[in-house]
Amino acid sequence: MKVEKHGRSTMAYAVIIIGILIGAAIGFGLAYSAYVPQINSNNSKITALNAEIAALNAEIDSLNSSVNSLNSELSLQNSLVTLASNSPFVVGAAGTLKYAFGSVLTTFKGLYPHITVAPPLFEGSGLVAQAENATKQFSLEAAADTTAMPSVLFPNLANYEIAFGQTQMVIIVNLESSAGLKLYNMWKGVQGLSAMSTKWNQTWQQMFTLIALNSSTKVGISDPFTDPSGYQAAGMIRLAGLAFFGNMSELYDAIYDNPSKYYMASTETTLVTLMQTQHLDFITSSYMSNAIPQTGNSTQTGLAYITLPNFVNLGVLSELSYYHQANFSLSPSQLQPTGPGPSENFTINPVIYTVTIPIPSTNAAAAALFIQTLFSQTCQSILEQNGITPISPGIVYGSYTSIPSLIKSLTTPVNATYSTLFPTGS
Amino acid sequence: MALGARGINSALTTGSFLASVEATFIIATAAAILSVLVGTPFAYLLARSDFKFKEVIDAIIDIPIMVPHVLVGIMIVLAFSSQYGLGPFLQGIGINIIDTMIGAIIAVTYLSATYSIRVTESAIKMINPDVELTARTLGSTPTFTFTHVILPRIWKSIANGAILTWARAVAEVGALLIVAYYVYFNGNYVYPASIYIYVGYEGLGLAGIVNYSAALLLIVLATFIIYRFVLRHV
Repeated sequence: MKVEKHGRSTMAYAVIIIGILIGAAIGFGLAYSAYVPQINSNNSKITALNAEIAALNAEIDSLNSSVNSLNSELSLQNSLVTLASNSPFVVGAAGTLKYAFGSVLTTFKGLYPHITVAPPLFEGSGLVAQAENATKQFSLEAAADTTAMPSVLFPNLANYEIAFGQTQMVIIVNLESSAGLKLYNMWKGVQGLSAMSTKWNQTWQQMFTLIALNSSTKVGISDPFTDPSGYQAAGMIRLAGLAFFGNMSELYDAIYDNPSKYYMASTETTLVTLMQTQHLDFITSSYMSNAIPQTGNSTQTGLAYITLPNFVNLGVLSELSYYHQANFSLSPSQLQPTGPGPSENFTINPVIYTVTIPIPSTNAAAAALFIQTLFSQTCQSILEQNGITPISPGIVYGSYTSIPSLIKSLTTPVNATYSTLFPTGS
Repeated sequence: MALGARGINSALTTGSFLASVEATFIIATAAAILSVLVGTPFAYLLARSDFKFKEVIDAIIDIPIMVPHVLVGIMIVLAFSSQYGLGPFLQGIGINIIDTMIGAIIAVTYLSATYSIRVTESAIKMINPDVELTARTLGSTPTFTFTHVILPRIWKSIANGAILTWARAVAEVGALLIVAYYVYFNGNYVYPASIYIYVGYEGLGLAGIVNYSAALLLIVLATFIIYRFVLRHV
């Protein structure tokens, strides 16, 4: 009996314990099944959060890398600023950059007040290049075409140029002359016509007749042998002849074969000054980059400029092959007054501004800082306000490895699309 | 000269260069003659007379050697261009000054005459005034006294002044850039020689223009040597 009682107690305990365990298991199972979705959900969230953390870490790494890069750039910049403050910064640039670069230099001086900026030389691109060749006086040089610096300075005095801006040919008109006023009014009228319509073509034909074929009008041109705008204006006239008269010679010969028809100066910026004293009706050797500042308020200056169709204005890169039709050869003896020198072959390209830091630069550090400033948002706006369309990144012709590290990221080597803009053998 | 010596022959056979030199020689010679004709009486007046505002006249004569020549060019344009000063009147009677031989001669004469006047003035001052007074007391008119007493004693100085004026006129650039960048000469538009060299430098650079520079130097030097030789042996 005792044994049976004892046995029954043990079994009861066992049943109870088993019951508890089963109950616990069931309870646990119920609890587990109730919370598994939550747990899974939490796990997913944790996974997602981990991924997010990883991404943020990567971003932080990237930012750190950028900060390091910026710090090293800043360090480079600071060391360049220190170096640049040791000698004057001398700019030699094409005359038509006078206005845009004048404003850029003002910005540059504001950014780097400890750099001494010497009075810049703004003259024909040819003269500036020759001056550098003779005197090695410049810290930085800029030209109004892609051939001036390579032909004079490469390879010993410079080994690259950076195309940084593009402008277009325009014609400045003297509103105080009857012919100038008439041309300007015709131009205003043609703006309202559909491009390439019969009326539009006829009006342009009449305009170029007034400029070139009218014996009583006088045209200001710059010397093709000393100033890029000189041969570019000749190219523009040839293209206008081709487009509106069916041949390149009609307008060109009417001007350039007739010394009393034109007045020739060494640079186009001086032609505006001479417009009144020389009784010029038009100046064909003009870029928008000098026409905008020089004509200013027409009521006050008595001057205005007219824009030209894209296929003659040398302002559109995609028209390059059309422009090249106007390539020509010219000898100094074919112009009056006749200067010295041999015949030259002129390639009619879009009007591109280029800049270089000469190898014997008098202040290469300041020049690099200047180019960096040139590509800043503020100065890109200055270029646009002065009729220069920025080319960004700048296109490098020549030795890309020679580009200073400070400005390398602002430039790109010349590619197949743009190679024909530069001298052959790029 | 040494660098350009090889190319002198080539320069001397370049038509445009020779035309420039010819035009320049005519401009300079005209300036020298005008300086003598107008300058000699001036020199006599400055040497022998005391008058009111003499210092002002003295200063005006020295202006060309005091101021940048571009400024003188601007002054001439303001005085004679078709828009300003005497220009409208002169143009009305068919006389153009700017970018003509006349304009070039006016510019270089004004800029170079100082040398002629000062050399002649110094030569006159070296003559004892009593010599003139003696001639006058003996019945000579002022003109006769000048031509027979003063002139024989100063003519070499006048000639020296003339060649200095000529040389200065050949060398002029600044004023010509403004007044006569190029001139109509012998049926063509021609650069004065100094402008020709400048334009050549712009287009050809140092290497290209050194021949013409050497040639011009040789021509001017030869002219000087011949002139001095003749002067010494006359």
